[in-house]
Amino acid sequence: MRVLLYEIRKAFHSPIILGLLGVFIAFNFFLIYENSFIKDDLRKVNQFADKYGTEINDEMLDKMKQDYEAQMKKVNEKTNEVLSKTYESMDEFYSDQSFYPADHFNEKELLLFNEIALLEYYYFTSLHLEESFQNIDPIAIAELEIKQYGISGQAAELIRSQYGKFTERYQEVLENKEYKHLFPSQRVFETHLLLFKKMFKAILIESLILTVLVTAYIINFEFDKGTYLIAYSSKRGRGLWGDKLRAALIINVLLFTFILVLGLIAYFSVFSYKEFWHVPISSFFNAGKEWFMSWWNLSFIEYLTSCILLAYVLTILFTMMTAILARYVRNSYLVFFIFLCLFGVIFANQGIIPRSNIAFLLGYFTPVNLVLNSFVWFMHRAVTFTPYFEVITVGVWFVILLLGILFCARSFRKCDLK
Amino acid sequence: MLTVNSVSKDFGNFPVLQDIQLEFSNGVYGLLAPNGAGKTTLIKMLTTLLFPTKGEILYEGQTIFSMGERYRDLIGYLPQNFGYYKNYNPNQYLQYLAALKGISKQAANEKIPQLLKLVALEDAIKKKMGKFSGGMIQRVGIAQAMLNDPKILILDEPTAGLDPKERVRFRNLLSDLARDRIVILSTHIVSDVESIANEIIMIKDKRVLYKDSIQSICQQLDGKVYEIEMDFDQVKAFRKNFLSLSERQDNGRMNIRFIAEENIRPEWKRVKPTLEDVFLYQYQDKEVEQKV
Repeated sequence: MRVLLYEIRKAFHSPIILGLLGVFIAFNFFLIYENSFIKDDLRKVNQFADKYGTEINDEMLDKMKQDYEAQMKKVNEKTNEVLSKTYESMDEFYSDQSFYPADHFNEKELLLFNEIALLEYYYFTSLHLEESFQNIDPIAIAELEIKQYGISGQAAELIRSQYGKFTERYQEVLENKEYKHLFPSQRVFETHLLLFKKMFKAILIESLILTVLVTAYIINFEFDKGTYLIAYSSKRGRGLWGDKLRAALIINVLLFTFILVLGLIAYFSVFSYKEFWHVPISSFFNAGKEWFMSWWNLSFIEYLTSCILLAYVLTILFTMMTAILARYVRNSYLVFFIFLCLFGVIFANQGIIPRSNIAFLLGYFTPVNLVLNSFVWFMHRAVTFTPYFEVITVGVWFVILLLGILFCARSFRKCDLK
Repeated sequence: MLTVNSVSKDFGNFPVLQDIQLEFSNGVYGLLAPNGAGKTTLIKMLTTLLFPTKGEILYEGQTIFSMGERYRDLIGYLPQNFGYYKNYNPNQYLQYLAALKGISKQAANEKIPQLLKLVALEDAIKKKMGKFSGGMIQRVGIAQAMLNDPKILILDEPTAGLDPKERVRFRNLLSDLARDRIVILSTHIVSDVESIANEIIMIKDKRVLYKDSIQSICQQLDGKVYEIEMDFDQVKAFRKNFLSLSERQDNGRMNIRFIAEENIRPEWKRVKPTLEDVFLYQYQDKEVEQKV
C-alpha cells in the first residue's frame, strides 16, 4: 500500500501532468462559456416542463394550447398597437420582413415574443409528434446510412440481417411512448451534441492524453530516472511493475473523475436539466441527424450514467494499452508518440478495408471509434448494427488487453534488466 | 553461503561471462577487473537483475531466483550508475526505498537518521538531492544499500566520483559494515580493495582468473618486479623491452618499476610485488604482453 501511494505521488509531482490538467479544465469551461447563449432559452424549456409536465398527452397539449393562444392574443394586442397588424403565429411575425422588431419593441417585449415563439415551437411540434415519429422508417434510415458509407456485399447483408431488431425497438418506442416527452430540442439547442459530442469527446480525449502520459510516466519512471537497478533489485522486485500499473489506473481514474466532475458541474450549472433527468433519451425532441432513439429504454440520467461508466472503462482500456507499450518502450515520451501513431493507425486502418467486407464493420468495434463518436453511444445506428456494440467492443478489447497485461507482467518478471 | 555455480551469461550471441565458479562466505571480496570485463554483469546476476544463460546462483543451497523476495530481502545493492530523484531529499528518497524493501514506516523512521549520520549526511537531510555533489550522492547510495541491514552487500564501483578524502572515509565505513556479512565490492581501482578485501576475484577473458587472498595473488610475481633508475633519454628504449608498471621522476632521473621474467641484471633492484602490479601484469595490452 505504501509503495502504491509513493507511485501515485510521483504523478502528482509532474509539472507536465498538472499543467495539462489545468489547461484541459480551462478548455472545458471555455466550451461551456462559448455555448452559454442558449442557457436562458433552456431555462424557459424547463419552465414549460415544470408547468405542463414532461409527458406529452392530450391534457398537456390542452394546457399548452390555452397558454399559447392567450399569449398570442397579448402579442397581437401589442403588434396591433405598434404596427397596426396582427399575426396567426410567431412564425408569421418573425417572417414579416417589413420591419425590424428591435426598432419597435422594448427588450422586455422582445423577450416575451421569444418565449412565446419557443412555446409555439414546442406546442406545434408536440401536437404533430405522433405523426412525425410514425413517419420515421428505421429501415429507410439504415439503408440511407448503408448508401452514405458506401457499404455493400456481405457487410451490407450483415446490417440488413439486423433489421428485425431495428423495427422491434422502433415499435417498442412507439408503443411505450418513450418519444412523447418534452426535452431540450436538438434542432434548436443541439444540447445532445454539446454535451455528448463537444464536452464528452473533449473530456475523453483529454483523459486519453493524461492516461497515456501518466501511465508511461509512472511505468517508466525508474528507467527515465536511472533508478531501476535499485528499485527492481529491492524486496518488492519486479512486482513493482504491477504496483505501477495499479497506481497508473488509480491516478487515471482520479484525473478522469476530476475533469469529468468539474466539467459536468459547470455544464449543468449553466444549462439547466432540472426537469429532464428522468425523461427518456429517445424523446423525439432529442433526435438528431445521426440518431433518433437509443437501443435501450433509458432516461437522460440513466443514459448519462451509462456514458460515464463506458468512459471509465475506456480509461481503463487506454491505461492497459499504454502499459503494454511501456513494457517494451522504456521512454515515456516515446511511448506517448507511439500511442498516438497507434491511435491513428487503428482509426485509419478501417479506410483500407473494402466496404463490402465484414471486417470493415468490425473496424468500428474499437475504443478509438468509441472515443470519437461518444454522441451516438447506445444509439440505434446501421453501421454499429447491434444493441451490444459498446459492450462487445469494450468486452473484447478488455479481454485482449488483459491477456496482454498478464503476458507483460510475466515477461517482465523474466526479462534481463541491463 | 552464496555460490555461483558454473554460471555463463551471453548477450545475444556474445558471451560476456563463461563458467564462473565462485563461493562467498562472510567477508569482503574485491571484484577486480578492467571496465568491460563483466563485473557489472556478474553483479547484476547476483542482484537478480539479469538471469544466467547457464548455471545457477545459490544462497544456502537454494537458487536465488526461486527464493524471490526472500533473497532480495537479504541484499543491499549500490549500482555503478545509481539514479536518484532530484526533487527528493535523502529522507524522502530513503523512505521510498524503505517501502520497496518492505521496511515498516516506523522502522524506517528510526533507521534513516542513523544511516544518514553514519554517512555524514545528517545535516543535509532536508536538502534536495539535485543539489548534492557526486560524493554526497554516493553516500546516499551507500545508506540505501544498508537500509535493510543486508546479509549480502554488493557495491559496484562505489568510489567512482569520490575525491581522495571521501574515498578513504568510504573504505573506513566499509570496514565497519563488513562484519557478519558478505561484502562484494566491484572496482577497477586497486587501492579501493587492497586494504580491506579478504579475497580478490579477478576476471579475465570472461572467466575467473583468481579468487584468492591478496598475498597469494601477489606471490605469482615474486622475483619478477624490479625498480631501476635511468636517464630520460633511455626510457623510450627500455619501454620497448619491458612492461613498465609505474614511472616517476626523481632528482632529474626516472625511477621505473617494471616486470622482467628473464635476463635479470644485477643493477636492478628487486621489490615486493603489489596487487596493482598483478593487475597491470594481467590486464596489459596484447602488444605489451608479447614483450614480457
